[in-house]
This record gives sequence, structure tokens and C-alpha cells, in this order.
Amino acid sequence: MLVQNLINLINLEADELLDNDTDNIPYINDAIDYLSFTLCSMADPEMITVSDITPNLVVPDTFVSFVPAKGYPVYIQSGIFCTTTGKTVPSVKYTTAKPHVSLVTDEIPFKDMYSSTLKMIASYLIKKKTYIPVEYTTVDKSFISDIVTSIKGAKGVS
Amino acid sequence: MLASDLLSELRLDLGDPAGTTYSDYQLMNSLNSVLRLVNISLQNISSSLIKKATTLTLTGGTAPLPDGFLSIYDVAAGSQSLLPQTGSLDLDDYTYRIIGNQIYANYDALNIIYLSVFTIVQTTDVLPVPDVFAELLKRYTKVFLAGGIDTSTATILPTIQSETYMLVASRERTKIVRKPSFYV
Repeated sequence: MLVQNLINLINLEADELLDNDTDNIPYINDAIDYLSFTLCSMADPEMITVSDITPNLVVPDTFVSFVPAKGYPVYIQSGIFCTTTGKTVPSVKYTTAKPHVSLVTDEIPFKDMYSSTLKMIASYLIKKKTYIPVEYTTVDKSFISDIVTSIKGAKGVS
Repeated sequence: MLASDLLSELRLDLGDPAGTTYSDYQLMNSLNSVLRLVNISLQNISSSLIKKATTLTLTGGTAPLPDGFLSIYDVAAGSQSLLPQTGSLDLDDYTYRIIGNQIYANYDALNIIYLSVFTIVQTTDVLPVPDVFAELLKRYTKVFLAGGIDTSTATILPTIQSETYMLVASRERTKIVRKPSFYV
């Protein structure tokens, strides 16, 4: 799905509260971060990278955490990977966040099945910023919480 | 049985096939801890499971002990069985001495049987014990993973020992058939 397609959905949901389409992009990036952290906390396979960790390797910007968090003879210090043995540690699993978008022609970095979730999160953030009183967005917030619970249930995470 | 086969069974037992709760490193670390306790248990009864035989070539009456040496079981030079020499007495043709990681004797070669230690097992290694140990290894690996070993080493070692003894009991003996009481 393209960013523009998601913006079209957000405009329908948020009643075109923003002046132009590109104004949606920061909110979409917030939604991407929120969904990334949610899925990373579930150790979702889509978010997991497996690689060999050599000492002094620079930690990727998108790195979130090891899976399991304390399962490897590896630690991070000053932005680089260190290994307790001083040797390469093979097959280390870690989660990474999805990249941000910057153009309406960019691809949304999630599967299409997450487009509704991204739409709701971005719309909620836009409404929360715009609505007075902010309590009007309480229902949206509650609905997003239900969606996250539903995702966890679908993925077998309690 | 390969260590990776045991890990696969463990992962199913733990409900963690994807390795998101426990990494292979955590499983292997706990498995190696259990193997060390099994090793101690086997050493306590001089089990044949950890006995190894080798021939050492002596230079100037001495040779380094083999890697993984734990304790000596038997020393012979040809058909002559040797005894440990005590104190500061000189070695003769019937004795040997072990100091540090060296063995001393008045021969050019020695046939020794010794009790060995398990080396650290990697996932691709064959387990140093028979498959019948799999249940014991899995059960106590889970105990280690749960962190229950921290304060209870004193209680878990005897438990592992008693189970290990049962698994290797009479391993070196053939079946003994008792003669009937009316046998003449």
C-alpha cells in the first residue's frame, strides 16, 4: 500500500482535519512507530532479524531489542555490539522497527492487513491534536486498545 | 543423539519452537550445567561411561596427561600393572606418579585407563551420554532454566546422582544366572 492510499483512508476517518495530504506524514510515522513497538513486544516474526554479531559492529538505527532480551552473550555499549567472549556470536535474533516514510509515493512498510490499524492510530493522533475538548477522542483510544488486544490474540500472545 | 535433537524436544516441551523465550545459548548453557553434574555423578562411581583408554609415550620418564583427564583408573606398562608411588620415594619398575598434569614412570610407554570430563557441548555435537539420559537431561535443564538451581545445588546434585546411578547400574556386568538350589 502506498502512503497516499493510507492518507485517503485517514482523511475519511478524520474528516480531512489537516490542510493538505503531506501534513499526514508525521502522524503516519508516529503510527508506524507505535505499531512497530507493539509487534516487537510480541516478538512477531515479521519484526525479527537474525544475524551474526561480531564485536564492535555498529547497532542498526532500527534495532529495538534482542529476542529473547537476555538470551545471548552480547550487550550494547555506546552504540556498538560487544560480545562477552570477544568472538562472533552467530544467529542472534533481534527485533527492528519499520522505517519511516517521507513521500506520498512511498510504500507503507507493513502488510495491508495493518492498514486499518495504522489509519486508526494516525487518525486518533490527528483528532487528539485538533479536537477541543480532547475527551472526544476517548472512544478512538479505547478502540485502538481493542485492536492491539485483538492482534495479540490473533498471534497467540497473552 | 545430537544436542540439537535434544534442544528440539526441549523447545516443544517449553512451548517455544521459535526460540523467542529461550535462545539456543540459554538452553545449551543450562544443558552443559546439567551434564557437568552428571559427569560428577559418573565420576563418583567410576562409571565405565566416562572411562577412556590411551597409550602415552614418555619422554625422559614423563608424559603430559591427556586432555579431559579427570582421574586415573589403571596404569600398565605392557603386561605389568603399576601402582601409585607415594611420598618422595624413587620410582621403580612397579610404580608411577602423577604430579600436576604430568605422569612419571620408568618406561617409554604406558597404557592408561582414566576417567574423563565432558567437554562443553555445542548444538551440533553428539551428546556424551546414551539416549536413555535424554529425559534426565531435559528435566534438569528445565530446572536450571527456571533458575531453581541458584540456591539448591546441594539438593539437586544428590537427586541427579541417584537418577544417574539407576541409569548406569550394572552397565559393565553380564547377566548373572543363579544356579538352582538342587543343582549338583
